Amino acid sequence: MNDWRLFMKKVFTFSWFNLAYAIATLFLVVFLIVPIIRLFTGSFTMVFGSSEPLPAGFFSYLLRVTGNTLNMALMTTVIAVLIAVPLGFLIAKLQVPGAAVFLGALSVPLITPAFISSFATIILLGNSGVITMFFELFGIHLPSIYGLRGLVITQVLHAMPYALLLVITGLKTVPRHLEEASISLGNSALKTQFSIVLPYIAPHILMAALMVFLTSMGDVGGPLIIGGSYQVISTEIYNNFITYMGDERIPIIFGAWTLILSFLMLFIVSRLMKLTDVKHRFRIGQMTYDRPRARRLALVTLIVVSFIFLAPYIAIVIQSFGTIWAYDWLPKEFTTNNYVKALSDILPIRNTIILLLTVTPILIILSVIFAHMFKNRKMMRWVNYFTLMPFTIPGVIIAVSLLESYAGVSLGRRDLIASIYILIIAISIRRLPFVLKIIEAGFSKIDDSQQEAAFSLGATEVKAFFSVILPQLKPAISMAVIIGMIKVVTELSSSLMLNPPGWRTMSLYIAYFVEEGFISRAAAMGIVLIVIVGIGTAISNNMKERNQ
Amino acid sequence: MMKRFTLIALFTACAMSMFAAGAQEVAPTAADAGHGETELVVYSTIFAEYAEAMKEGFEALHPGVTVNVLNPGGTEAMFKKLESEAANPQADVVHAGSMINYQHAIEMGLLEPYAPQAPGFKSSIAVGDSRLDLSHPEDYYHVWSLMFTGIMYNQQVLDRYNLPVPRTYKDLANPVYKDQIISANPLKSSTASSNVVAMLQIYGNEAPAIWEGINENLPYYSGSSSRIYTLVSKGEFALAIGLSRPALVAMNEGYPVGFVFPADGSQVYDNSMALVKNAKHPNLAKEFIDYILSDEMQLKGSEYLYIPVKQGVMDPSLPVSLESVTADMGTIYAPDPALAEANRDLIQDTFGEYIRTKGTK
Repeated sequence: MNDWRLFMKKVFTFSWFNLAYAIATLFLVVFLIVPIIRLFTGSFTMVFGSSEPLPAGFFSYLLRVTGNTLNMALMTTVIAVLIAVPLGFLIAKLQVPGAAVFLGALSVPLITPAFISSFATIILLGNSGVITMFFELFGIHLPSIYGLRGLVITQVLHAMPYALLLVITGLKTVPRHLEEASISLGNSALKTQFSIVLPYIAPHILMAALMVFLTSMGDVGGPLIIGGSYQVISTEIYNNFITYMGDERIPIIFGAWTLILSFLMLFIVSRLMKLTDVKHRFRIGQMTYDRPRARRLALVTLIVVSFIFLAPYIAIVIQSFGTIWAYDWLPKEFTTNNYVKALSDILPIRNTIILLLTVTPILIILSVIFAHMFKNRKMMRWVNYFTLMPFTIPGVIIAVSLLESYAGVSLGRRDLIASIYILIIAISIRRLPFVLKIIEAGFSKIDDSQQEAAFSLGATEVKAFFSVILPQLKPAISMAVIIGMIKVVTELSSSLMLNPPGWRTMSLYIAYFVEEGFISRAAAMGIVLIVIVGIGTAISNNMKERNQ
Repeated sequence: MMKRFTLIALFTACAMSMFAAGAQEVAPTAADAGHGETELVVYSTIFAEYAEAMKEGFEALHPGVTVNVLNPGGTEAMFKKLESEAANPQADVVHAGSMINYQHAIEMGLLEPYAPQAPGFKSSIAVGDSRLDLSHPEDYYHVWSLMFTGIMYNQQVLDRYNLPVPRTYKDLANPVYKDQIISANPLKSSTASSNVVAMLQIYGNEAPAIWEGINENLPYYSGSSSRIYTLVSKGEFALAIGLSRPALVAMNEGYPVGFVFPADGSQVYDNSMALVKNAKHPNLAKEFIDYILSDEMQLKGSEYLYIPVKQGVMDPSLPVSLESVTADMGTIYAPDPALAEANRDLIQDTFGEYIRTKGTK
């Protein structure tokens, strides 16, 4: 009761933060919650009012697909985290030469659109793949890539770098004095990592696991291309939604079921994170170790892992310079034509850069406001559950819900649904959870007592935010900018539906040419996309270093 | 100070980009003679280069007019978008996709009739021994190009596994092709459902037994119809149940593939187009439909292997002409929407079950 009174008092006292909270929450309500609820409630009559029985064995099918989805997401999460955590330690703690280069190289899978990665996996491990052919030389027949195996490989390729970046961000927050104290008490460096550092970054690891799990659950592109007959919730929703002969009740039932599942998961994870929430008042730099032998071993490990993770992308580079590549070690011929064609159409590149510069700041600002609200207004934490919706609801459904809800809104010269603004809104909504979770992890490490000290010295809430909170958030924000940029340029399913006249992006260009079977041209544009995001990331890193 | 600067820079970047984005919105240009419409929006899933040719050609004929061709990512997605925008349609013309899709759009009230004025366009033509209606009886849609259902094969994969080239749909039920055939999901793809209906036309009550045999040979049903051609071209699978044009495109590209028009019968598959109900630019939309049916665009389409529906626009001896393509084909079946509708529940139940239980037995 007291909480509620306090909350009401806070709400009705004017502050710039309340205004920011209201605007951000309104954005989410207007462009996500209302359209999705409208879409779902509009279908309730169809689901509950139908006299037709659901297909025979529907509920065992629902359970099987759910089991498949959880199994795939769990396998992907365990493998990705098991690779990312030790790798993060090697990069952050052992002063490995060229660590930034390895980190950059390992981020490549993250930048590549999912369907290009799936094709890259097929080039190597498909029925006619290069590695499959190699093993066949020795009479070894690799099992088919189409199914759970291929899905997990592709998703780990994509998700591991993401988890790695989160783990490294976590490692940067570990106070040096803790490790120094442990070492001075006679503990070995290895024991210190296990007993001090690992528990300290547990919220980041949990966050990484949650992000990988939810990304895996919501992935449509991978299962569509490489999933074979392994049915998962995301594709069952997608296939039954975009259909003219399927059962329209299925995506609604599956969609509602997915929401329940993801709410349940967030609930469990937020409880787990509370258990691991450790804060320290002093933070003096990051502890690294000068161990030449361990460094050499780390270097070899990084080279091997980077090669394994980059192999499919090396195949994509080869493909981008090739003509046709079918059942052979290399493409039939080599050419630069694919790049000439990709670069001759400058519009998708320009559009992508404009979207990058528009949506990324929106994502960062919204995420900081939401994370601040969740930390300071406990009664508003319910909003957090809704920010997760875009993780598990396919982009095409979000796009259709926006089209149906705002078909009648005009901006004067053009209708909202035919303008670039709808695309900016949709991508911001879809990519919000990825950026928000990183900023939230950043907030979880902020020392509250410093803010309280600022208040006691007479600082306003705004002043305390800029002078105490924001500086501590910097590592998380710079990571969020990188992830935000990557997620903006790789967004596809909403963009396909909402793409306004004259706004074809690089991601759409790639999708059209993959659909037409012109994989080499798509690969060339994919490489250009990686280069653009790489430059963006380098600029962001450079600015960060200058600031420091 | 630095922090403030960073924040201000962030807001400025955001605001500038929003402004730049807004400024990029396509502005109406000089009015077109007569009706004052200056913009045309076409939803089409057609090959991107042909879409570009279509746009450039129409703009050249109508100075001051901007044509925007949008592809929402597949025929079914295109009609879903059209349906979602029904309260305020953004498209003027919907282009590509077969009459099965258009029939459904008519039932949803998304289309408006228009009788084309293009010289030489006939509402019905002979295809083999069948007659094909190119226009809906009430002019809701019109067919502008043709393809045929059948079997794409990769010779390299067939040779590797010592498999014969199948000659009929029935051959696909042979267990030797286990895990070597790929098909799109017939509940999602009009390409796949046309093949399913073709088997119904050919075999009647025996068709479900053939579906069953083919289902046993399929490792999975693809969520995308266009991807099956890419997979067979690459050598991932030996056979795809699909359409002639994408297979012929892959063949022209140099892939070791071919296409079988099944000896037991092939169904004509059409690419249609229609005027959208309550279109914002109906006059330009009608002119565009006539333009697509003009001799010039029929010939242009043939460059991208779209078989023209107007006879006499090209030399019948050329490989893309309807005459050439149909010369050695077996029985040709016209699409039969009534038969498809009558068997809708059977197809939905049978393939729904196949797809739900795939990989579990």
